[in-house]
Amino acid sequence: MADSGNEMNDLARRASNLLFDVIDIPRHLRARLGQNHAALGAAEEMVASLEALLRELRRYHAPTSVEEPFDEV
Amino acid sequence: MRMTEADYEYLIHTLSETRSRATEIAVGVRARAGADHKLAKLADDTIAKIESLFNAVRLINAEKPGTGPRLAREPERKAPLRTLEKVASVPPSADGFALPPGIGPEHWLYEFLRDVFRELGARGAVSVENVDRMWKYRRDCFVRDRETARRMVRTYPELFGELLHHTSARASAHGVGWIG
Repeated sequence: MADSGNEMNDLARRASNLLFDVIDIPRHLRARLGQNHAALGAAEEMVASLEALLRELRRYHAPTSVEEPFDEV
Repeated sequence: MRMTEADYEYLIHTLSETRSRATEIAVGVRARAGADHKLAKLADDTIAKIESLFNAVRLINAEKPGTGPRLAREPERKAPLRTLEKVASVPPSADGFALPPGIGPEHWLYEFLRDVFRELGARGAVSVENVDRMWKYRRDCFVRDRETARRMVRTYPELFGELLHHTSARASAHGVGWIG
């Protein structure tokens, strides 16, 4: 169980690093393509999806009584 | 502000890397939580979203068929993209040796030789023991990466169809392979 927890923590860390590396993409696309371009929507969906994955990875082995808000990238 | 060729290349490179890293995470999630777990579905959804953005970015360069790329030439960049410099910061020639086309910075032979040359440059000499240690380290890295790559290809073959075709052709031409 401890090993599994460590592995999930490692996956969460990798997901966090990945999110950190792509979180600026929507801003850059907005600056270059405008607010209404399809690529911007796709980029925002990608970031939101990564955030959701990271949030669930962090919750996987977290105590159920603790609500940890997603506030760091 | 328009999309430049450098922006486009940065995005393609970043998204390709992002897709690979997300796929590794998805493989890990499936192995630990199970393929039917909510986490596995979230990971799959993330990969689909990355793929969707990948396609959208490709379309930017192909919106006018037959007229060539619609991208502007690179102007003076006042606010550089954060990851762009990281990608281009280590040209192959910086390590003092050159390898044939197809053996790039991510190839095990390149990394091993870079280690050896760096040791040689830093100390002015290199021992057999150190070369042996560096070789074992790179061999272990290669074996781990190969196993990861094989798991990824087995789990998500649809994501690697184009890459495997390209790699197979390149391997035939140069006698080298990506995961072999």
